[in-house]
Amino acid sequence: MFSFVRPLRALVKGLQANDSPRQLAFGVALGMLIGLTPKGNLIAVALITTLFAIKVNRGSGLASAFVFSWVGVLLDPLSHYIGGLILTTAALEPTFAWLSELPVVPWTSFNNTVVMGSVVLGAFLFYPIYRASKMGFPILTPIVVAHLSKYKMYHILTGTDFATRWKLS
Amino acid sequence: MTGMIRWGYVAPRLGVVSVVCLIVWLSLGPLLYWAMVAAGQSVTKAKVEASQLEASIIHGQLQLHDLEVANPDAPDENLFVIGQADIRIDRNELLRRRLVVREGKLSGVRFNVPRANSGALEGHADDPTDESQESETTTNWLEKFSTITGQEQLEDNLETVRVSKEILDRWPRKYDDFSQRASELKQRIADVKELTKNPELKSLADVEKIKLAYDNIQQIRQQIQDLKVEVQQVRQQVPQDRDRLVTAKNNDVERIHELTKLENLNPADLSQYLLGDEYAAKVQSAIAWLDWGRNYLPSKRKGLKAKRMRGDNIIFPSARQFPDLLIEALAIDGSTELDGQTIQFRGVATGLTHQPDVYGKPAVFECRTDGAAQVFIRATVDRTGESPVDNIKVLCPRLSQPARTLGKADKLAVHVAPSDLQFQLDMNLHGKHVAGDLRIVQTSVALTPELNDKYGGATLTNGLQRSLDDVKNIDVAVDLSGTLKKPQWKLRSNLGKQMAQGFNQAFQGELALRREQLTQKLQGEVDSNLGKLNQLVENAEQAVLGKLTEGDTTIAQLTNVLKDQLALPLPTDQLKLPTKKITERLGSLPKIGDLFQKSAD
Repeated sequence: MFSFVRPLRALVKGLQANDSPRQLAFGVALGMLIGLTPKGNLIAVALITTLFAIKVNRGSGLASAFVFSWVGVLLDPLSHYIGGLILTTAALEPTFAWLSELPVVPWTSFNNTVVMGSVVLGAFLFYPIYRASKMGFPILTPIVVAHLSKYKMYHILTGTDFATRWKLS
Repeated sequence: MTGMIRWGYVAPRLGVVSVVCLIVWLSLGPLLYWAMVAAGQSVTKAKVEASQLEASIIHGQLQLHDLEVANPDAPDENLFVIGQADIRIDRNELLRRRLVVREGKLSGVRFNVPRANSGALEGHADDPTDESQESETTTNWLEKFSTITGQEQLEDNLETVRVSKEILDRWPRKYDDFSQRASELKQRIADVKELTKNPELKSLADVEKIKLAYDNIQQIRQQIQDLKVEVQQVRQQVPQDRDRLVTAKNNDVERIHELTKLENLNPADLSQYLLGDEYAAKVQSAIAWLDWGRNYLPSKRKGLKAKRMRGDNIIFPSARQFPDLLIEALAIDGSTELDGQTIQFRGVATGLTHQPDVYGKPAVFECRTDGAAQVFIRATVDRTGESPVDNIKVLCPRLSQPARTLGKADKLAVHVAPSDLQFQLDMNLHGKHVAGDLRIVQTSVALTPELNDKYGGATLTNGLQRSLDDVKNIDVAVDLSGTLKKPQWKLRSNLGKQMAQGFNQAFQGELALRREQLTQKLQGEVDSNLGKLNQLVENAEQAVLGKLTEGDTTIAQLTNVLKDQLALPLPTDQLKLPTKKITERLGSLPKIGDLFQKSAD
């Protein structure tokens, strides 16, 4: 029931524990890619698996995926346009035809305009988002933590509230 | 790179995934069974059941036992039953996100098999059955013939009968009335006579009585005369009634001729009556299968517009076009009923797919039967063009046909002895339009007609038999047209033509005979009734006039006696009795009773 709290808690703990900005930024960038990509295909599965399997901040990744999944819906027309442009490029057609005949590849739904467009758009935005996040986290983390620590919810999420109450700390 | 991987997280989850895969592998059969039943029921809207399903991912094989698919329109029977299905799936194509059955085999296929329990799904309402196309022209014709030849009904409505009854009813009443009035007059005469029996006139009162009697006698005489005139006048009405009766007879004869006019039975209508039901069932069965195919096999448009997610799926022209679901070849064997005979069949279906436009080739089903009954069937379902095109060709060079009855036994039926037939059907369905023809030739037939007594019975049956003796082959052609929802067919047959000729001869002969009989009977009726009328008038008139004449005689005698005895010079109509003179002469008068005595002598 409270599973939706876990990513938030991970993010807050990440901020509190001063995870490396690189890990936080990588999580945000990967989460952005996951959020933009339509689900139900092998690309989405691979991206989500990657998020959990590699050493990045899962909290920032899931929070980013949550936010960008809504942004992705709004960006569907753009993704569809980009995907259409790419998939109908004559020069790339033989490559795509070859890919479509390979085992497993068709499960990625790469021939879908929105999938292709969102993946390309996500890949295009990946590094800028990563860089921006990497630069932003060291500056913003202390401010955000100081601000959030005023709220009880922050302590509940970080577990300090329970630890104090049960004299665990 | 490996330093980046969170093995503490990945390893347990890999283990979980492995366990899930193992569970899926072990429970693949039940899972596939559930998926098959759910998909089948959503398509057919009726129960789909199987006794066992075995699946192997490694070998790409699927085996199904005792599959039963209920008929949504008849829940007590199965649309079809498959004893065993062996399906071999291409595993490489599965990796390419395609389900391709390279070859499969369906054994023990049977159609329209009764079910042990209802095959209706809960909450699924049956659609109302389509109206049947049935010709009633011949039935109406037979009913009309029956009405014409129905003697009692026809005779009850004859004008001659009504007029005769009225005349023969009226005349006796009239003469009864005359007779009664004559009897009353006679009684009054008798009363007067009784009054005059008094032997002596002893007082003036007796004289008054005599005077009163005399007056009465004169009145009675006048009434007798009036009644005689009335009887004479009534007699003059007899010729009028005779004319009425003759006119009624003539009208009836004309009406009988009008009523017994019956148009010749139309050969096409007779063909429809005799063969319509039987061949309508065959045509409807073929159309029902086409309709079933239309409902369950996707059209081109549906395949192209299918979307699995947001956006469009681009098909690359140079890539090998292959549908997501394809059954390349499916061998089928089983048994079915054809004209009451169970026949074994075997065939193969190719190119079955839900994306026929991608596959680019039509689905084809070819089948042939084994044994004495040889039937070849080829069905082509083409969804590759702009509009769907279906075709069914059936060829049966020889099929033993058991004895059967054409038509309706309670009206007109023709019994056909066992013989062989040839059957050929070519039916096309372009879009919604049906076109095609069905030809059936039954050779070396022996036909026996049967006609209900109401329509002529054995008398006409003999005539019909003679007309059918020349029929050695039954050649039936059915032209199909209309739409899938409202198919129409026109049936032609040499049987209808041949039989209609014989029927018309027999029926028209019977009608002419019936007409002649009725005319003769009417004439006899008129003659008889006129004779009765004349006899009645003659006898009744004589009886009445006899009574009146007798009364006249008695009155004349009474008048004379009274005149003589009273010596009254005045005419009888001016008779006045002087009381004084009568009183003086009373002593010399003889007794009045003696007068009557003498008169009687």
